[in-house]
Amino acid sequence: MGIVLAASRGARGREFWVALGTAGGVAGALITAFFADQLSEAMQGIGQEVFNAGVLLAAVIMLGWHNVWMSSHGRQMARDMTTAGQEVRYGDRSLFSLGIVVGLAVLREGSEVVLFLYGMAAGTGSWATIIPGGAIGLGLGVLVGGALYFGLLRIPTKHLFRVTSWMILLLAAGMASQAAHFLVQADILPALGGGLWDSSAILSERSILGQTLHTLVGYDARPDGIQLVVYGLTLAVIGGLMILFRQQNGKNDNGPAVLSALIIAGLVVGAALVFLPAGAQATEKVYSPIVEQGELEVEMRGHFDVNDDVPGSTGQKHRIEVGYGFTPHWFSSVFVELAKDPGGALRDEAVAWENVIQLWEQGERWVDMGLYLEYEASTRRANADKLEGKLLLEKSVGRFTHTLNLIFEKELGDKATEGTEMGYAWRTKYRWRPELEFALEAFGDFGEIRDLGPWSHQKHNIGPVIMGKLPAGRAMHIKYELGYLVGLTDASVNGRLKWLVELEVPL
Amino acid sequence: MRVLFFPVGFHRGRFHSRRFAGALVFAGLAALIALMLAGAPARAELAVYELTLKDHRFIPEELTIPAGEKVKLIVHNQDDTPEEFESYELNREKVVGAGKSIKLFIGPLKAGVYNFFGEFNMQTARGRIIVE
Repeated sequence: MGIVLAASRGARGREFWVALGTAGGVAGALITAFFADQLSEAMQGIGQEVFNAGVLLAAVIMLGWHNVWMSSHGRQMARDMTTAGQEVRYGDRSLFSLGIVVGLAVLREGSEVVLFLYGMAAGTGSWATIIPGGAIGLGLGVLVGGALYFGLLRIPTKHLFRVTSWMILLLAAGMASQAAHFLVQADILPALGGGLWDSSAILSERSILGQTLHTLVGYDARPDGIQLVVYGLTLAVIGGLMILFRQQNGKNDNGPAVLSALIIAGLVVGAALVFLPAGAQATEKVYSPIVEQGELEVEMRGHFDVNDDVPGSTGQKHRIEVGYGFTPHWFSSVFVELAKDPGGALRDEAVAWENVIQLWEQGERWVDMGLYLEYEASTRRANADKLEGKLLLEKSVGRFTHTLNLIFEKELGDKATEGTEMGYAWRTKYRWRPELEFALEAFGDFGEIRDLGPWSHQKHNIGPVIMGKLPAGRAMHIKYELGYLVGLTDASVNGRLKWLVELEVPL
Repeated sequence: MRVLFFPVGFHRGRFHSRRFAGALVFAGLAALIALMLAGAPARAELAVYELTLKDHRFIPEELTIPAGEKVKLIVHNQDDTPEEFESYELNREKVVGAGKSIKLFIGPLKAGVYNFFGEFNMQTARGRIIVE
């Protein structure tokens, strides 16, 4: 409530909406508590979790919408608010959504409080001890909320929007990850690794600071894997939308804040996937033969497999890469590949040196062509080193760009167990806007050239991918890719969710 | 899938794999060479257009080129800081060093207006290519 009230400072009639929301929330909390038993039994026993998750997700959507709205109207509002004494047209719909958020938050937490109090009263058989305790608790809550509100009010207007946008962004991400946890309990979402770490020793969820952080940014001492994923995704989606709709040259430019949120999102998603059970092969990316000189690229990518029932899956792989375009025709990078065997710890598996060589000017000939050369040195004694070469082809026709990679891979040395393998990667994309492009990608592995097996032994996956490039201030960009590939043969994984985040910095 | 998909691998199992693989690689190389030869441009025939960057502005700010034709575009950077010539519509992005020149190949394009800008000086370095 404190955050919402501070965020809507100066908006006409906001007290009304917040009060209405609070009242609605309290009423809802009482009703929910009253029907708690029925709710628990609904939907075959998971009704309560689904209800909680639903309430939280509705709040996330409202918070996200609020932030996006603020991004697109920030400049106008700042101007209005600096005019002394003038109240600003906040927009009824935005206030309405804030009211709903307050109501939902109060309802969520409130219903638990009511149940807890009722349970305690039922347990001890008397209300006498409950009421003073409850009153103290309520008082403390009002104190903290008030402190938050007045503390936020001290911030000058021009920073207030940025601060509250940040807080709301984190609040929304925290709520989304809480919702994910409920859905895991309801067995609707896969945990993707339950209780990935336990930071209770450092900061317990039961401590006051822990609880405050839990409410404000969604701190969880023992998060499930999917909670991290959802946290990062929420930051990325809301942050991305905020950038997309941001008013140009706005004084209250949320750009840097959102950029940081996106970077954090990428790191969180990356860290999460480090722990997650995923597919065996190195992560897939379609390479363009075009090199951009003078750009530093830091990239993280991974994938995780859904319904993977392919035998011999070796845990997951993960790649972190840093590279630079040294000349208009040569890009070079080094990367580390991490892998986790099932039941084992995460370890480095290989380091590699990768080069992309653009053969001629883009558009100069009928097709753009390049070469990809990579040497991968295994850091595990049992594995062989690898040499990988690709032919990169690209052609743009109107707003469509088609890219094809022909891939050859060979293990080297006395630990080599396989001969030269051949595969491909293909993409057709529609360049709608720089921030959002739609593509169809396919990846395939024919296997060893000397011993090509039947179709069912080969691996082929195809599916839709979205990608884009978001400005991140000072000529930097964040590129992303997200897609879902379905397997076409018995040997392929049934489904593969792939993701990529890359930071481009001109140097 | 029991279809004979792109003669790599056979439904019934391995079949003259090594000889076949060799033929495949040879065919691939031949296609590659054919592609390169076919794509070799007759550079003498291409029309050349020029843009100059001075004081972080493009001169001229508007350029007209014919539709359906590939042209060569040369960008001279007369400033003392690098600039990046970029256009989403043209699908081109290339850095021009201070005092240097770069060449780009554009087209064939459909009639329309294609905006471009200098990424490092977006406020002032803007222009458009009109294709008609």
